[in-house]
Amino acid sequence: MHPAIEVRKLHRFFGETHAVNDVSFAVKRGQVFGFIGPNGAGKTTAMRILSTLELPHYGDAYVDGFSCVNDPDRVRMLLGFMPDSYGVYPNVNVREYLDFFARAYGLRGAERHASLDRVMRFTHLDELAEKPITGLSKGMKQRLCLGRTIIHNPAVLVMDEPAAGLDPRARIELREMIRQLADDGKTILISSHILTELAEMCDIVGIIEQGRMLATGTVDQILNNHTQTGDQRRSWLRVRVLGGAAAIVTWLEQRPEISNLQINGDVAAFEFLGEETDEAQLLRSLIQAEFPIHSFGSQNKSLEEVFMQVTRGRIQ
Amino acid sequence: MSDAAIPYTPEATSPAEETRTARWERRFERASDWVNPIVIKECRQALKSRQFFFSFTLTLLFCWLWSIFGVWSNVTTNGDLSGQTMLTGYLFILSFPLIVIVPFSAFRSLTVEREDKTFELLAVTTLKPRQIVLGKFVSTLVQLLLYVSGVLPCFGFTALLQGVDLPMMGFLFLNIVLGSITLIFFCLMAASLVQERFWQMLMTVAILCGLLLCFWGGMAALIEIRFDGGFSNLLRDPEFWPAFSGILLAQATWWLVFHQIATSQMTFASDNRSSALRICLVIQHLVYVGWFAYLCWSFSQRRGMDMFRNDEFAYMLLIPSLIYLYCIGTFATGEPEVLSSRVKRQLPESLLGRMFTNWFFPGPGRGYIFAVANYAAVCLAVTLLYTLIVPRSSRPNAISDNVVRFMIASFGYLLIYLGLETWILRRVQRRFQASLLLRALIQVLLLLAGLMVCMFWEMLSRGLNPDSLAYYFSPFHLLPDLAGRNGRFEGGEYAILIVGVGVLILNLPGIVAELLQTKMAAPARIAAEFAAQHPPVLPLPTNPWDDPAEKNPS
Repeated sequence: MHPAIEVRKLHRFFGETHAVNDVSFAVKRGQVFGFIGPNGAGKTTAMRILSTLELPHYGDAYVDGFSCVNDPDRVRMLLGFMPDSYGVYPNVNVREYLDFFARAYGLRGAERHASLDRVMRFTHLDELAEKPITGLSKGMKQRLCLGRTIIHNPAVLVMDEPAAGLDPRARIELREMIRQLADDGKTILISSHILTELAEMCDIVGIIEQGRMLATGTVDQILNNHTQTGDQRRSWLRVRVLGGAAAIVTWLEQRPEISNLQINGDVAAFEFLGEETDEAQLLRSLIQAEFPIHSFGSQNKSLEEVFMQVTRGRIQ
Repeated sequence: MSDAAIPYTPEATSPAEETRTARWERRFERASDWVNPIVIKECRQALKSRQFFFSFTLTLLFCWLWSIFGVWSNVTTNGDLSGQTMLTGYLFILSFPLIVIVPFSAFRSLTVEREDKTFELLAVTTLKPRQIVLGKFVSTLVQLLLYVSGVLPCFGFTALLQGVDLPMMGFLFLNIVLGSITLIFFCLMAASLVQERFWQMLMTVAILCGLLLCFWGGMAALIEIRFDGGFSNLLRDPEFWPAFSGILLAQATWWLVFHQIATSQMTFASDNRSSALRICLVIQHLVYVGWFAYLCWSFSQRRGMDMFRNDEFAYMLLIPSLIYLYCIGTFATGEPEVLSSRVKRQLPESLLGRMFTNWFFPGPGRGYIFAVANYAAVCLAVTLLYTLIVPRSSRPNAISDNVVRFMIASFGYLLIYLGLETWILRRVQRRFQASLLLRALIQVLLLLAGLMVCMFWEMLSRGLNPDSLAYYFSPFHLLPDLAGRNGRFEGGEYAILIVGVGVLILNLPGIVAELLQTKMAAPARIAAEFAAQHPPVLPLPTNPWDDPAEKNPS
């Protein structure tokens, strides 16, 4: 059984710039893969290679086992690509636009009509069928583009920044639609800058910077991987001290296993180098030192924090 | 969003309830399934566009104004108005949209796809590049037909006047329409060549200026014919039809070539962009050679074989072929040397296939051999023409020494220039993909280098002589000499040929490496799918008792 998407040792150069540098990952059927990285990290290039718009210099990408380099025609039947631009035509209405793409994907007769109706209902564009595209709002255009992407009912969807430039309502609506598609069993590769949304939507994420894939896996896996320094575990701890955390600052700062100390009222948050037994020992020491400890525990990180920790904000 | 979740239920109507209009609509709808989607989309867009509305209205308006002027003029001059004058006016009005507006809209329809990034959306559909180009062409043709249909009644009006007959009108009309089609294909090709915004802008200006020049040139020719004794004399000229057939054939083959270049440019980079184009180029070249043979035959019927006494006919075939194949070679030698797996699946397996069809596949070495082998074939054809077809009685020697020397020297030059370009580009391509512009630039630099060598040679051997300026500035040093039958350098052509062979040997390792690339099997899934789509054909039974299935249990 082939993975729905497989990228193997992909390289792509633009002159001296190594836009995609040895990127490899795989997405199983029905999974939603979030592709995150700063601007210019190589996300769009990797997605364009996967969508058979660009040729890699080395490596290959596969959709359902078909090579994007050698069998692009098969890949195109299986894949729907939603680029970061709308790509709409002037002087056509919503129905004509979708009808054109249905025809372009080889849908005929009743199958085409069925597909059009299904997509227009799904994207809530059925009431705007006769409206010229140029008169649509950004949110409506984006829904139209989603409709165009799924018109041939592809098993794999590649979406490049679908929520960019949308207002909150349009973004939520789009997110709901994507979630519905994911529930329907579509494999989705999505890039976005709105990491909170991606964290909710994605089964796995890949973090890319300067063309290199820095981390792949679930948010928790990435977090765990990046809390290891050499052989030692690194974790974020949170201590609440009655009467204010300032009292323990000097004590904590003297300990070499503690770094990045942040004080916020009663709460002290810091990075701790050590195993779980070492954490227990730290708590025991704090109590023995007679600090009024109210609570002690590890602090869960958001995708944003993981992203900030993994990437360094460098551009090529 | 599964199919099952939202089932499609078409609105049921009984045949009795269906109106005639609805029935026709349904038939059109069904028929439209078989029409190129691009045609439907482009027609929908073009017919709603303001540009089309204004240009079409203006065309009609000018036709009406010209007709009113014609009627008024006829009344005031007591019926002396010539039908030819009216026809010229209408052709003038029709030519502007057909020669300028329609080809330019074809150009824009493709460049706008790239500007608006909608081309990417087309590229990821299952539409083939050929369908995209043909779709753009047919939709432009629809516009052309609309313009023609608007002006056609005026042509009918002209036919009622004196001095115009239907063959003349048809001939002129046909020429404008065919010329417009050629320009449409050319514009589509030009649009496919430029992808970056800067080059698109530059090309847009160049195309617009070129189309306007074509329009004014065409109109000047029309007026020239009009005042040069009328159209009828032209049609009666016995040399007109061989020449006109040449123009028609040239146009038809250029349509093929322009269309194929545009298609190749849009083809995905890992696919085979070369073979179909090279086949089209060979067809075009063969058509030219065939037409040339017809021309020789046609002339010999009227003037006898004596006309072959001079060498002009040989040069008429050799020089255009040399320029043509040199240009083809310039671009063919810049292709990447390693074939993609996709192209390797199409490589021939048999010995004959490898010998004869290998040269149609992409690759610099293959392109080099393709160009020089084709020129060698032309040289062979000329030799055969003069030794076998032209009787010996018509000339003392079957083929003149100058023609032979010209063939040797030109073949040597082709080997040198294309060979050097192949060698340079092979090294360049290992670092980055050489663009069409770079390939042309390298060839220009090679020609300049050749010119320098020839200039020094000329100055050293003869000194500065104003009479031999043509030789100073010719990178093909011996050719003007030989074509002019002066024959100054005895044996010089052999020196050029030897250098050419040296350059060929320099390229030989690369060519051999290209030829050693072997056919690659398609992945099992694709092979199985192909086998399912193309089941083996069982032989038909030769008598009622034979069951072919028994003979071929597999």
